[in-house]
Amino acid sequence: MDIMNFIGRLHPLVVHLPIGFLFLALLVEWFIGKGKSNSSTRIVLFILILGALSSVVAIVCGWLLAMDGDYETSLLSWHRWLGTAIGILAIIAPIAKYFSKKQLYRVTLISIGLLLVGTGHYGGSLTHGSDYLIQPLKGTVSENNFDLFEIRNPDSIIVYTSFIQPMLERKCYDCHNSEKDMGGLNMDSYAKLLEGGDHGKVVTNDPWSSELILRVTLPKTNEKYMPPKGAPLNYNEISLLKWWIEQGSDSLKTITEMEPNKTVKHILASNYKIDTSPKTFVERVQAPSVNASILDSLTHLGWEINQIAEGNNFLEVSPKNKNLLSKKDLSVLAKIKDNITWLDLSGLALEDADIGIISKFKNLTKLQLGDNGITENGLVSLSSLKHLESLNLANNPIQSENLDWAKPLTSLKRVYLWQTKTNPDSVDRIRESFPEIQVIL
Amino acid sequence: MAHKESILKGLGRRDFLGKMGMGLGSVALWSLLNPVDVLAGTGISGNGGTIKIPHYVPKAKRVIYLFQSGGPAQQDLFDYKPLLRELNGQELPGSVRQGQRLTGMSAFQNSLPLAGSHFNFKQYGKNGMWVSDLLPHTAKIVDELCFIKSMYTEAINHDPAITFFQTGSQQPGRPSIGSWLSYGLGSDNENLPAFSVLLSRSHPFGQPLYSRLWGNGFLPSQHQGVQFRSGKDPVLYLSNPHGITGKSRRNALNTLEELHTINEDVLGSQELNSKISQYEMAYRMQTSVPEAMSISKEPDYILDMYGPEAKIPGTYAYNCVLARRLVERDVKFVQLYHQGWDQHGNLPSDIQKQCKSTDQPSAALVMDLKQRGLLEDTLVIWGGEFGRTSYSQGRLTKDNYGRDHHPRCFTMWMAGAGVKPGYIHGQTDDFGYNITENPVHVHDFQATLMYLLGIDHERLTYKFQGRRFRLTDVHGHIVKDILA
Repeated sequence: MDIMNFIGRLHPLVVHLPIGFLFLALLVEWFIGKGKSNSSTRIVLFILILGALSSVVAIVCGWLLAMDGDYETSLLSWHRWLGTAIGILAIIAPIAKYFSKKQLYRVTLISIGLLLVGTGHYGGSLTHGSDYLIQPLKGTVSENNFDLFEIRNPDSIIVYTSFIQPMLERKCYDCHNSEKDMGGLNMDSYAKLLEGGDHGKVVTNDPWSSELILRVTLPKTNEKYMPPKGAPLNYNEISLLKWWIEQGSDSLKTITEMEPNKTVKHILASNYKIDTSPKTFVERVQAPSVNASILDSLTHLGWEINQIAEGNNFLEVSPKNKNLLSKKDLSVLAKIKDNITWLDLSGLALEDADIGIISKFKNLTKLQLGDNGITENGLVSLSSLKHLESLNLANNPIQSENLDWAKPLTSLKRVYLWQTKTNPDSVDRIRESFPEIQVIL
Repeated sequence: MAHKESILKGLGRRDFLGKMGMGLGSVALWSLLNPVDVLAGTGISGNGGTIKIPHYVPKAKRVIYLFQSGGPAQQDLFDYKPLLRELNGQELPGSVRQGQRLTGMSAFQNSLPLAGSHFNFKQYGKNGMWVSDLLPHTAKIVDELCFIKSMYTEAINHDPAITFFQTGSQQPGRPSIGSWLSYGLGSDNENLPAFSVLLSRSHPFGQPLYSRLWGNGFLPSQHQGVQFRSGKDPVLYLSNPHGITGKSRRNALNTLEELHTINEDVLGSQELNSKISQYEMAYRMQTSVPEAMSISKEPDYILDMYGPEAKIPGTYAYNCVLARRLVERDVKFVQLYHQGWDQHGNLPSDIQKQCKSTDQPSAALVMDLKQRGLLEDTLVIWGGEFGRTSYSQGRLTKDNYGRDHHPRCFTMWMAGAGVKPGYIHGQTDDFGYNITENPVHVHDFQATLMYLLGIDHERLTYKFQGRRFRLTDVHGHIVKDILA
């Protein structure tokens, strides 16, 4: 039994009595004005004495409460001494009134009024948090805000600053900040959060041994449940928090680096419209825009040109009619060299010398060179195609004993060598030395 | 004058509005005849579909849908359930059936005895996919295939179930998948229909298929599937009648076109334009179809891949070769239907015949597309309209059993463009009766198919009778897990 603590906790109750009495005294003085009678003086005196007595009780309770509670020290100190000052003035006031020291009485009473406002504000800040009063004016922070991110690229969204910090601010910050660090836990910076509170770290490597997760997942009736008041953390928030801790609770890692699990992927997709499915090169990178007149001229030369998707400047290019297009027309494609990503040049009777131009198309991801007269010597000129993923060389007189020409093609995943002069025996060797490339014969 | 007035009176509100929308006179005709060319000069071309630029980066440009009509028994092909063998002959527990409605064919059976498969299963490929001995060729290529073992549908009988798969609705009247694609994406080859259909069966009897399954519904009729037949004429009435030369045919069409142009301003209805465009398409097909449909130039080693039936017109194997030839010529959607999977009785013997004629060609098609590099942007789909029950329909004997329709779970596979090779999605319970993991609804399948082709299934719509329709109605979620 802690009687002192009990008395201390009466402070928030008792404190409203002196506030009421002292303000009432002020109002009565103002209402009565100059025409004073003996009885009115007695009434005011009575109120002032009540004010003085109740302030002393409130101050005693307040001092006791301050000994026990975890309050932010600078706020507490202001509240404590302003409150004490009111108490002193509240004792002076009835004395001045009784002895008709008009000047002193007036100054004292007005000072009490002003101090009440200030002390009350600090008191409120102590219990409710310093943001409590003006929070509604700032507008609420939405939990599932689709417009939270202008760019929804999981490669560039940092998990801590985009999800974890705002969540802690919404749900925990009121009691765990640098001004009011309940339990010694301060969440207003990443470093302080990792430091933990009075009882040690709240974040470990394992979510289920991290106090941060345990406290928010306890039954609500448990006295250690957090947050003790206000909206609890919801399923999405807890899932994100758990994921962040599982992945090492880093402050700088992006969504992609944190490897979202299935639940998290779903939350990101449905609440933030962030698509975490793996993106191909053409979905990740944007090509420069192309002048429509250039495309017109190429189309008239007999090229079929299509934009691969909405909002994507990459182009798919193929001959509209293979019989009408001669290989000389290949060079005009240099005008859109950075935009071509899928190119079909099959069946154009191309030879080694003709494909040198292709080396300029650095953003190619799929290239079809089937049914041509290309040999392994011509393939060397493809070495600059760092993004090429699929290369179709079927039906060409290629006699490749090895895939050395493919070494610089760092993104290459599939090579089609069907109906070439490639020796099936050497393919096994090729497959061994290029395990990341699928050779299709 | 009186004649003209009567024509004008005959112009209904819809026709009028339609005409206002299409009011481009002969340009409209030309654009329908030659959809690929009309967009030239606009910079970005597009192929005559309503979607000029794909919504997403397309993974697939063409689809071959090997429709196994009748509902193949997943327990005997892909969904290995050793428990059914252990409990062979015992009653299906009520806790498993959970009050599931049964068809009239087995609902009045006194007993629903569990029937273990008579066929052995082995594991294949890097993922250890279980495949039955009925499908030795498919088993060899499991590393190329993406299995969905958790498909489910709403319909319990063939026609509603196929209609549901094809159109997104169990009631007839809506456009088929291929028609939606033709409407949305247009054609990459102006000489062949964007939606081609091939039929086969290995058994004289099978559930009937109606041409409305590849119908255009309320879409303009040039988007309907064109059925290629196995006889002398792949397309009926395509070749010129006796005594009519190609030249006179052309002259007749030219005159018809002139007449149409004159009347276009007055009458111009969408259906008339469709009709004209079909005449023109038919004319172009007179040369393109015989070329595409002739396998005489296919080397023997290719035909051997597809098996002994590859040279017999009308077989599934022959159709698989044709399907490859059609996608090689940039036909957008080729749909094969193979009848005869509806094994209510005599399943052990019938399914063997069925597998014999479909296993090798299906596998060969995937590998043939792959060696040519076509699998890169062609999606192959294998599957029926529903699955079959784990209990026996009719008497379960030592060497015979049958299986009734089962919409709650069945297996499909896909291969090629945009799907994970060597992947297994979804699981069913030990009874092969309910899905336990990752269910995929027919609308999800359709939404995913559209996504792979670069289409947002919620945005490809057509307004008809005052309402915008789409393939997936108001449903459908993309199955992201199977995307490569």
